[in-house]
Amino acid sequence: MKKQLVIIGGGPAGMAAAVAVRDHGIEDILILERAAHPGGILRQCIHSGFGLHKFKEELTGPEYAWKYEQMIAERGIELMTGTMVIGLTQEKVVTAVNPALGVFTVEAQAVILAMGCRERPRGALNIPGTRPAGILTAGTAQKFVNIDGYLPGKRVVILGSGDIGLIMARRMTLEGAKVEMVCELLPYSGGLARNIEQCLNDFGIPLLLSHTVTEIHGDRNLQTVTVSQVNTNRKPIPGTERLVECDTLLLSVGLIPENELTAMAGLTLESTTGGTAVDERRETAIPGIFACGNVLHVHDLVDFVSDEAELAGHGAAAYIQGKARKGRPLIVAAGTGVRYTVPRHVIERSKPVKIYFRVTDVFRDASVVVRDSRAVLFSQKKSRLAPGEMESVTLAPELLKRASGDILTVMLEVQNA
Amino acid sequence: MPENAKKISFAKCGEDSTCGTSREREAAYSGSKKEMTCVVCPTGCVLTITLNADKSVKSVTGNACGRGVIYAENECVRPMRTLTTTAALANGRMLPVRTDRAVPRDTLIDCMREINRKIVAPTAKIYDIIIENVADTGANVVAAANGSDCA
Repeated sequence: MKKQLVIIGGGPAGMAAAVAVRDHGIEDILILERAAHPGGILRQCIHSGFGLHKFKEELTGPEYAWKYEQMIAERGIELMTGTMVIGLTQEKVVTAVNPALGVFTVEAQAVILAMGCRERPRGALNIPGTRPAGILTAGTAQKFVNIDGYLPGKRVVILGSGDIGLIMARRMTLEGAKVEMVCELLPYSGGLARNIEQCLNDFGIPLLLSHTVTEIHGDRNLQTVTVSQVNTNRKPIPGTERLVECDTLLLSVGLIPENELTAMAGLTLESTTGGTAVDERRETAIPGIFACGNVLHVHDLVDFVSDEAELAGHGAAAYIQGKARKGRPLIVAAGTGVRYTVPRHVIERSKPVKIYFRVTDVFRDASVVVRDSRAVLFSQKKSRLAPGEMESVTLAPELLKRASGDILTVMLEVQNA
Repeated sequence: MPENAKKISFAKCGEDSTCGTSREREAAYSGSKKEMTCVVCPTGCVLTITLNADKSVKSVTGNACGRGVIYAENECVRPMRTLTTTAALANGRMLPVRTDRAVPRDTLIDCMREINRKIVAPTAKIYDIIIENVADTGANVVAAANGSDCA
């Protein structure tokens, strides 16, 4: 089979990209989705807070997904669910499998990678102790509760204060479980301030910063965990151990972009984001292969995933239509206090480019500075910056054209160091 | 309904907690000023509220939009939250539902109890009213997805 465009993943990124590509006049689109329904992780994110930027209303995850499902249907975009992509080559040959067609290949003119991310499991943490039942990632628990209708436990300890962990603290409490505590290794939470407020403080659930689980106890089922305070090097402090009774340990300890196919195509992955490097239209190092959403870098808000997917969609449509691009790449580097930037380079300097980035630590009263090899081109004060909240700066065309040399650096300058 | 649901209290973080935001707020609570994180949207504005002598809101700063002021006013009197949860479908699947407006935070458990008693027809469509005036809050519980998509 041949297609102008194949989109791998029918979650928020894949659907928004499909809509954008279709609205640029490309008709021959195929979305491949491994689940039985489109929507990706939004289907189990039944809490609200989605869509405030994109639709100017507060939606739940399923409602946000529904809006895009309707847009896909209205445009007659082909969506193949229950289909797992198992191969991708540099030549943009996609290999997939489903019960109806078996293993099949699609030769695509362009490909958009929108596979999303998955959770870091217990195995990535090296917590000593036994291996009883009752230890699961927060997202797995979310699926059990919200999709399947099972409450996985009654006394819960949550390790990691990422947003999914915070959301699940509230969800399990509302369904009748007792959430004993949320432990966070770092001295600050990686979750949104709003979620600490409405998911923990509303229910009196303690958030223990600079604390972690140092041992798991229980034979068949989880019985207790040892919780210890950690020092500034994140090492447990002897003598601070305490035993906490629980039957469930939820892990909310980070998300990993799901990039096996990306690597298979020969693209390299960045250690900072776990995704591959892209330019401002989200094109990877292989012309005609684009990436957007959580497969590129983990986002906090789905609204920004949709925005990014639209950029990838515009890019893929322009690529298919053979629109030439000119210009030497301008590299956007991460400087002091900045962990990564997306995009990593800019080719077209005639349009404003929004640079997304994450900071390395919590900063107060810092300035976000963009500079070239000679001078500061842009500076903006921020009262608070935190790793858990994605930041952005928009670079105007005149700034991009004025930049001398081939590198722009996004960095922080802290006033009261 | 699980028995321990009754025990839930809506307190701030406990004394022994090392919850950063709560501690900061604790310090800010004394006197005629309050600081709080607005939960209306993911921006999470830090609001500074100046109170009148009768504890009513005199002024709010730090809010990026008008909803922050309403949030602060409610928060000082009776905090309001939108409830999102699931209701059982008659075919054994779960339907995501939410209240169509914010309800008093102290009624959340009553709302949960009522929703968890409800069995919904699998033919329910998105935005159908599932429960009217849930727990006497004036809010309706509506479907947040089509029942047919909840497989």
